[in-house]
Amino acid sequence: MLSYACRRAAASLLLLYLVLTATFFLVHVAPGEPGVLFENPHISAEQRQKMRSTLGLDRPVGEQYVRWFGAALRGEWGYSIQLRRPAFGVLWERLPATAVLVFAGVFVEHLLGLTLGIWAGRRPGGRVDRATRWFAMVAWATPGFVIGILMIEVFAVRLGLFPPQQMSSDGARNLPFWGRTLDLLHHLALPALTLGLIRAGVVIRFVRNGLLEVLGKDFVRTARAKGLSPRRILWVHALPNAVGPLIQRLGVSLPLLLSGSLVLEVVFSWPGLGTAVFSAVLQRDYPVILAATAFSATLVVLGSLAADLAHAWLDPRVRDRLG
Amino acid sequence: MAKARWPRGMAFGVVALCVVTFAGAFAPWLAPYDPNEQVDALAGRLLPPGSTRYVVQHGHRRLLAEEVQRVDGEVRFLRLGEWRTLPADPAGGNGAEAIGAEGDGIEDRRVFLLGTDKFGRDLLSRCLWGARVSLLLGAASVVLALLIGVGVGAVAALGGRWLDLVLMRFVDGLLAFPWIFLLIALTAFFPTDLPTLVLLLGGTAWMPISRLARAEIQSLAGRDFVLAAHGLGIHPVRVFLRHVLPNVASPLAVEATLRVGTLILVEAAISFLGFGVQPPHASWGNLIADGREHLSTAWWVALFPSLLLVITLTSISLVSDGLRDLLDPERPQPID
Repeated sequence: MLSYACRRAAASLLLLYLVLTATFFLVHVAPGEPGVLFENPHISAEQRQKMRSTLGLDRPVGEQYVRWFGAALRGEWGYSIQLRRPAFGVLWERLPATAVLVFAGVFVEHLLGLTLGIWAGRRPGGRVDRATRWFAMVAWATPGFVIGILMIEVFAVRLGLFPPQQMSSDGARNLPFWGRTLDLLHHLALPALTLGLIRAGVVIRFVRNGLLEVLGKDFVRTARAKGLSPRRILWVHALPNAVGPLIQRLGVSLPLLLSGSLVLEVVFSWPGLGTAVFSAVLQRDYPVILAATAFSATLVVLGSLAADLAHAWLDPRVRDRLG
Repeated sequence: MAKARWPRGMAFGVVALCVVTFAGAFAPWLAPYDPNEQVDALAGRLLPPGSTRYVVQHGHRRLLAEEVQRVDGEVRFLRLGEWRTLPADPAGGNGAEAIGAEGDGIEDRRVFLLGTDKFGRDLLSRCLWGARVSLLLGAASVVLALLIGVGVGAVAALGGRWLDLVLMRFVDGLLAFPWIFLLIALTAFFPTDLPTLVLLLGGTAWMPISRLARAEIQSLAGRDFVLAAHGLGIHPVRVFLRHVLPNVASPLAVEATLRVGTLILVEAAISFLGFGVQPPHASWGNLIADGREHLSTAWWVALFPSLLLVITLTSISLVSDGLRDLLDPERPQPID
């Protein structure tokens, strides 16, 4: 088990290095410069050149790379050109917002997915089953940003029930803890619902198919022969076996989850990693882009490793396979 | 073999997909107007679906008029709530007869079936051209992804144990990478013409295909007919092309169909964020982004491209499901 985790970590590190190197060169070779260098009309060409050399951007790309990589090895990801603060810190302080959104989205996703999936799986071919099949298909086919702007238009602009953007109200800082939490949940509702909705379709089909497969197995037949109630068979025998792979699926789909939340963060102006990367890209904030690449990849690798280990811990068959 | 049944919903998917593909392929001929033409950005701005306007040549400008009247040899037109009269033709004729000729007159009558956007451009034409761009990008990127994916998969499956291990570890790692971050940065930094976008989209989408191709090829490599072909002394490359590849074609077709859908989604998301396909060129993603600003007052600008996108992707999903049922009835249905 430990050796499995180590092997995976080593392979991931190597890959992370390759991807970061490729990103570094692609980003630096691309035409154009950071926004601060051309946006301010008041600075002279001389000052501009001076800024370039302060940032090290006038050096050959190879030299910049060696310098950047050496610093990165020491855990220094450079300074954000745009914000003039450590790039890693910029991302680190945005992490909680993204984490909250992703967790809430995953919660909605699985709440919807499990409820509808079990409902559909109990009567395959029935009306509910057919309806969820369509729901799953349309949910897959609809981009998150379309549902997002629809949600904002209907629930925030027209009905005024939820705030359209940001994750807290202006005066929320002065509220007591519970007030702040309620305020956060109020802001979280729309983006989390959107993220959950677009991803729920797959979970529904996953749970439904898993349930059907398990219900046909011998141990379920045995349980039935023992005279157990259908409810007990479903909840105690069939369901735990059917949803095991869900955890693994969650690990595999982490990159997609992060991508989905990135787009939705921009749509809802959610102050998370996604919006940080978005503005870094617009400003050509190289250190932040590179740190974000490393950061998000590490998060995904750790997440999928955790999901694998959790799955192995829950299911002895998987444990044996991983060795 | 039992008579193959036409899977449910597939007919709808095939028809819808054919219609959208046809519309995209023949957009230059089907689109009623030039998708980038701004005749009169002020008076033609955000017109609701089904609006009719007259194009009036007035001095050096072309204006969109709501109504035109011919009174006593004079041409009057209503634009932005104001009646104006065209100056009489110095040659003695009247403006009404000057259609198509030089000088002032009523040039054209336009019907904006799906309305117009904020620059007064015809939304139907833009949606059709957008279909062309979105579908072309999706399909071309998948072709590229198929080429890379099948190549890598074949090398892994047939190249021996170590190569297999290394390549598949590599693919696993790439699969676990949140590509959208990099895609956004690269589409923002490099000039995004269609070939570049295809390269970027296809280059980040081949990993699942290579896994599938490897698994399928590996399972075929030990089958009797392949061994027999080898035994007959047929060149391995020929065996691969003639005997192995045709047999992996059907699972690959199912996968590729679905990938067209996911890549259209990725392209739409990137273009929605403002990278990817750049204005004035239309893609469904940037059309929806344009419409977002005017959702409360002009719902049609965002609605029609969104509907097209959802219908197309639903059809792709239906077709992919149906293909799987048709080509491989016994295979357990994979999810995601």
